[in-house]
Amino acid sequence: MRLGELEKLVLNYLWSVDKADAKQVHAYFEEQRGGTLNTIQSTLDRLFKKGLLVRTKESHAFQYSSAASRKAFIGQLIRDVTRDFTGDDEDSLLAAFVSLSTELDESQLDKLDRSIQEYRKQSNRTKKS
Amino acid sequence: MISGFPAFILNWVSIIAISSLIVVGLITISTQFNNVHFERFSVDARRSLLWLAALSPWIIGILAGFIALSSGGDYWAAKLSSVVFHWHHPREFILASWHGASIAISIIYVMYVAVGHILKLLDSGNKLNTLVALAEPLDSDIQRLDTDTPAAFTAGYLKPRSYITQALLSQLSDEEFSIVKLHEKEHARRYDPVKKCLFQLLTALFPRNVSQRLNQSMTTAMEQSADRAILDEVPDRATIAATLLKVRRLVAQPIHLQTDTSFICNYGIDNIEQRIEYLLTEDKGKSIPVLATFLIFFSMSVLCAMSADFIHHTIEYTLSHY
Repeated sequence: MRLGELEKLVLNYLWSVDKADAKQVHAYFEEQRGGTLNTIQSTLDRLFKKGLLVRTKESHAFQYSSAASRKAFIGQLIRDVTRDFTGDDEDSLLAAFVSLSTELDESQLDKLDRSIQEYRKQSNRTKKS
Repeated sequence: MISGFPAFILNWVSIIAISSLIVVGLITISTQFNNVHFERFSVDARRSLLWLAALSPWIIGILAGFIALSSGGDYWAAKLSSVVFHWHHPREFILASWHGASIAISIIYVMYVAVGHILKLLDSGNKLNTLVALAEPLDSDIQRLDTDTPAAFTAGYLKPRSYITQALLSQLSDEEFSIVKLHEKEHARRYDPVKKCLFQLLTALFPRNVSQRLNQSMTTAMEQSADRAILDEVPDRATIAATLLKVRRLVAQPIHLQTDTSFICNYGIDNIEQRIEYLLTEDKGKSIPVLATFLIFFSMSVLCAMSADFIHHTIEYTLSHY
């Protein structure tokens, strides 16, 4: 999904408010960076078509709000990027601290935990002797 | 018909195409045997060997072309036996021939792989830019992402940056956080994301199962390199391993969010086992076998130079009789 600079700003704004129509969004950005109402309307429309905003018609104007919370959106972006490059390689583009999307096998992780404890015991014994 | 130096280059490209195919085939066959383990080498040796494996179709193709053309033509001072290696017409090339077709198919395939890769790269770059715009600097080395998904990673090609999510940060002690940060800082210092990307592009010429295996080995080697770098500042191996395990438990996600390839799920476990074992063991593996590597590359180049001519004659004989 491609997001332009203004789209990111508008999305950030809509995360900070419950909902807003095009005029309210324009009023907010007019003070900050200028721009026309038309530009804001088309930006809102693009974000709606990308599924990032939802809208309801109230009187004659659309009220826009974000489709997902900021946290959920960032979480989805991280997941998208991690499996992006070859479609099935979990962390191909990233150099992740640990794999981001692999199945947890408790018994195998417990076994590793025991290995670490054993290593600690051996290290302590070596230090004492 | 093209003649002279352009024809010489086209003949060389034709030999590179045939040789690359042979090398890919040989590597594919050799990786089917379970005793081929890159893991028995040290991290640095493994990284070098994996890069050599990824580059081998190109390196061997170029060398094979040199051997075959220098034996049959008069371009090079070094003339090898024209009985074993020869290329009958190094200075003549007919585009409307099977040689022309093989070059066209090779170029189309390489372009298809490269363009597909670049398009994905651009798309991912855009998503990363969005992430960058939403991140807040935690300190000079790492950025914070406000989300409920626990994760720590380094991303970006020309300016790699490290990220940690609030969900993970809130569950780490100061020492654990510094371990994660040192690990990610090493990835950024080594430009691992762009190297990973380049490695994927090179291995895309191999069959899917082989490229996956090579990429998994490279990922593991990169992670082990970053783990090893932590030891300079945190000498307690057990604490590093315990942090790795703790983060691994935290990032485990519900089944419905996972990719659907069981092969990859297993890899995740294998990867963490290898990393923890590597941290805790004193034996860091063998160094790069320089002589053996040289001999393998040389013999494969010779084999490809001979095979290219054999294939050339076989196809020409077949075509001239049908």
